[in-house]
Amino acid sequence: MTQAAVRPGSLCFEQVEVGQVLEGRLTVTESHMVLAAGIFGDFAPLYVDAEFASQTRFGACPAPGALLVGIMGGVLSKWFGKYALGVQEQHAEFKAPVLADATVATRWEVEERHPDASLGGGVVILGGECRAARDVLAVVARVSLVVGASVAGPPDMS
Amino acid sequence: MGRRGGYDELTIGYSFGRQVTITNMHTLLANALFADAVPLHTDDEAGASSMYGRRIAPGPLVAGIAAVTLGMHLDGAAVGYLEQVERFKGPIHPGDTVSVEWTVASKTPKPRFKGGIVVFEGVCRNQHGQAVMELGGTAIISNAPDELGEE
Repeated sequence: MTQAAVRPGSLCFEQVEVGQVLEGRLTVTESHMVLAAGIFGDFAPLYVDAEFASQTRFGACPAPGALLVGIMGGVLSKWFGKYALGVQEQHAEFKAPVLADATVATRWEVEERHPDASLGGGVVILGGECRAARDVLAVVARVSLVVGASVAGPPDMS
Repeated sequence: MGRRGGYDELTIGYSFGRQVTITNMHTLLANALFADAVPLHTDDEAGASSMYGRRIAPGPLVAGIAAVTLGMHLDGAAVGYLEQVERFKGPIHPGDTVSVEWTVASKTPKPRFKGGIVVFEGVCRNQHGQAVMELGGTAIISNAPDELGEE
């Protein structure tokens, strides 16, 4: 199954298959970075002082890693919608900085699926990566996600 | 015990943290930032009928607040954040106050960074003292500047 076979927001546990790919793109603007500094409470010079950041090895303010992890999670939300019932565990490795106005491409691939009726569906394990400008690998991640089963009959494959 | 931020100042077992109330505004803004409109985060009725009993805050929001606690404490000594692991043990709802505590678990010197790699273990607890998230973090930390302001 490819992601085109499933409507975003409707991916329930029965429709999940090992090897399935879920993708999304988002441009990380300066607004994201300012807002992230505010809600995370991180006003370190590296993130909010362009002059300071220009003197570092990054050359400009990078996006906080937590913002990128959240954006990667947002791609899962886009696909699973109401069937996303919670994250059990997430692991992220930060490989390269992402600067303002970069468009990041997130790609998740289903690695394992484990039915568990007690959870109302099962656990899906996905490996993911986030790439920025010039296809630079920025984040590698793995997540264990609880996904709900459909109660509305056969999956909608339209 | 005074605040320690440089690689040479951190000792195994040294702990630090902070406490933050996760408001509805945090949740709303995080949903916008992450492009995350999952009903569990945005829909009171969906939250009420879920296993959590009410809406929950996005995990990456709380994980980000926890990670920043590291960065704030290290105060510029963190050269790079390499890795983070989060294990979610319980729901975090808008209105909850979470306390984050990090502990230095191991150190590996890296002279070329004038410091080393530090592995931290952490835990987030809600206002009832329940552990809602376990954390791991790995960062490159530089030594503290000496009294002359030199690295």
